[in-house]
Amino acid sequence: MLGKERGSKVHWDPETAREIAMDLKDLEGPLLPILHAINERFGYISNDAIVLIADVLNLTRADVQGVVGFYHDFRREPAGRHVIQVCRAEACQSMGSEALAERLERALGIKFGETSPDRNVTLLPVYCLGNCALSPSVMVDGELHGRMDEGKVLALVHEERP
Amino acid sequence: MTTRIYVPCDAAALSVGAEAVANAVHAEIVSRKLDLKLVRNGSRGLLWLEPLVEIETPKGRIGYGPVKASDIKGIFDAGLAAPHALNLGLVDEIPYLAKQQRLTFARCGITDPLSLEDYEAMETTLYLLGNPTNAKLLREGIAELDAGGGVKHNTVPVRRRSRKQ
Repeated sequence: MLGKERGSKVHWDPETAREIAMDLKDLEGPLLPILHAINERFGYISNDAIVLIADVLNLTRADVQGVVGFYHDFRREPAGRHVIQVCRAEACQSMGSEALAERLERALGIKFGETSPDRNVTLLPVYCLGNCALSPSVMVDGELHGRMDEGKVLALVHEERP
Repeated sequence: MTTRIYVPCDAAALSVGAEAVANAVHAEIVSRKLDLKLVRNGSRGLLWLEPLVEIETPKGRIGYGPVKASDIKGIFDAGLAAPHALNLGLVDEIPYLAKQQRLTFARCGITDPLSLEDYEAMETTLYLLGNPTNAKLLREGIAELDAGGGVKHNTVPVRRRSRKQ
């Protein structure tokens, strides 16, 4: 399940990270739970985190890096304050999500996979949120929104601006 | 008896603003001091009508949809179940729903999914209506009562038999 995908997280702290890893290392299959916890706490998985987790679990860095790289939800750099995930799967496409995606790219001045220079927004694709009957669907900061258009999406990420 | 008003809380309805609609309904109930209970049900499955707001009436549930939070005041002003641009009439009679036979989703949208009381009441109702003869007799009884054919009795507390017997 996708959690709240907020950008601003706690700053990297090797001691906290080691505590998190030590707490979970005796689980059966501890790598994914540790990665989730680190990603959740710090907002992304840094190179330092990979080195540390490899050390705690006695794995190679390549092993850890391979798992991190396999799953899209593990970030390698901090996200923006808001994360917009536009569904680009079939049902949403049939309801105009590709045009919506293009308009969002133009309005935000970034491509999919990128974060805006002011770090307000990260734009990501997602392949089906299961809300097909209310397409096009967009998830903003972990919250599902149906029947979306460009104006509604932008309102959701600008409303908290000071 | 308190009348129930339903606003779904499932993911699909929430994705099109059901939470804001429920808040607006709650605000109207409070400010107008109405004897209404807001129930958060599942979706009836008519997703193009979400958020679908339903109000209990003696004939069945009257639906409004798709409702925006800003529509709620007007719906209450017009009078619940009264004619309104968004009034869909009896939800059970909407053709898409009327021709369905539901099994695994029988309770979805009908009950509050977190209410054990609702669950048990529905379980009993489905069982009683499962037998055509029984269903016919029950419906005749309900019609007779509604037509004023009831006789009022004082209830006498019944002592439960001890389990040891």
